[in-house]
Amino acid sequence: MEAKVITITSGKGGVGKTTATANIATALAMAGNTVVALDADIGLRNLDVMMGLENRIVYDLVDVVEKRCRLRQALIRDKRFPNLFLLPAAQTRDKSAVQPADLIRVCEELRPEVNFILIDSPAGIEHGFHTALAPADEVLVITTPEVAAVRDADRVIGLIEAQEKGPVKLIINRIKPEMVAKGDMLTVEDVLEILAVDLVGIVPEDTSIIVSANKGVPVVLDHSSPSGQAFKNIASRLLGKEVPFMELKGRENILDRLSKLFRFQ
Amino acid sequence: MGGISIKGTRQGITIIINGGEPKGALKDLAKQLASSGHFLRGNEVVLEIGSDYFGVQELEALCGLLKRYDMNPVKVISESPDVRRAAQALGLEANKPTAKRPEYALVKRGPIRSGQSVNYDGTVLIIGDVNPGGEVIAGGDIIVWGHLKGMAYAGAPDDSSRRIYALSLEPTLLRIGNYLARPPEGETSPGKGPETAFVQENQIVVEPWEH
Repeated sequence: MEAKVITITSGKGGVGKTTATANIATALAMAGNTVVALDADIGLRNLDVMMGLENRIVYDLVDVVEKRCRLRQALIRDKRFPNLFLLPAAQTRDKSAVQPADLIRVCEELRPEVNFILIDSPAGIEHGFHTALAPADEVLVITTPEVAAVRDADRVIGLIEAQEKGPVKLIINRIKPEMVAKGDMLTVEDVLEILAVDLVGIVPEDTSIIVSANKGVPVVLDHSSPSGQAFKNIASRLLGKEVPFMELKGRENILDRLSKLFRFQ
Repeated sequence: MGGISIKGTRQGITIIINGGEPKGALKDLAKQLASSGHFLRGNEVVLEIGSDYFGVQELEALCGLLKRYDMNPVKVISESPDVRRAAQALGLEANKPTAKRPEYALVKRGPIRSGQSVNYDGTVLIIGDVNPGGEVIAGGDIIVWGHLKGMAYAGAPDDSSRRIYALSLEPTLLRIGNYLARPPEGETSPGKGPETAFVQENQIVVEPWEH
């Protein structure tokens, strides 16, 4: 096996990096791959919470880097999928505890034994971001359809391309079809026109994400959830399958339709 | 040394005097004008003077010579402050030479993303978009074959004769030489087609880019 290392990053905080990492990692594992989800957000770790593995952490990434334990000891096996592992971040340290070369070394050690290593990058464009980027074979940039998030995604894509880590693949998260239909939200096309990169997934806004994050059960396990389906589709595309993008149709109520009829062009 | 060359430009005639002693230069010029001066009649003349030795007297003699051929000296361009002062004393416009621009344009593929900056002394051609937060700073013109949504500064630092062209001009800020303009607040009107910005009567104006 020769693992593919995929870093998930965004620039702006709160757009869904950790949610995407947990869900795509789980979906890849569901499809039979051996996957390590690696939390590079040292000092602000969340991936363990989203995966429901918080209380199983004994050793973390910094312990591995500083050689207080072997890599295998720090890997936490998922509750549901025996082929899914979490390498948690340290909570009591900060980004300076892990250098880009350290993360490259950790990934090199994992590479022969797994299919995918997914790295959850911290927000921002500083040291932690560069560390998370260093071992990447492929980079997924995630944004929401908001001007500020798109601006930051553009900045981050520029930095990734400058380091020749591209081509970048884009996930657009938290689309509200009703708002798009009304013209109140940037459309997928608007975002793609600005960022000019390949799209790998569009994820609708979904309240079940909040429940899933709080419970530590990734939403891909909920078969009725539209966002879960969207993350499964992303995993399939990463595996090289052609999956059509979801049709996101907003439910229009009668008032919306009336107001659209009378809107002056 | 010495040597005189006469160039026709869109604005009129430029006479370049490459240093040396004024008397000799005047003699050379008189000789050239005697043979070809009648072609140049009626033109405005810019004098580029590379010599430090042109005072009021020498310049006056030079202008007298030109006027005999019905040419109208209007501007003196010289590195030397003394020459510029002499020119001003005679009522001529006097300028420092603008720095030499590279002859070739820089061609760059877009998008120029947020946080990226393209800097070049000459003209810059961007094939693709300039995104918000991206910037292009050029000593010459700027041509954007795409959407210009970021900042563009043509003629940096002080050449206001430069232009900015874009297939779609929606910048956060435009600068040309010493001038600066931002689009009117709250007005988004994409789809206007290609436009060009330039300085006219001390402000940046935008027109459709038609030729």
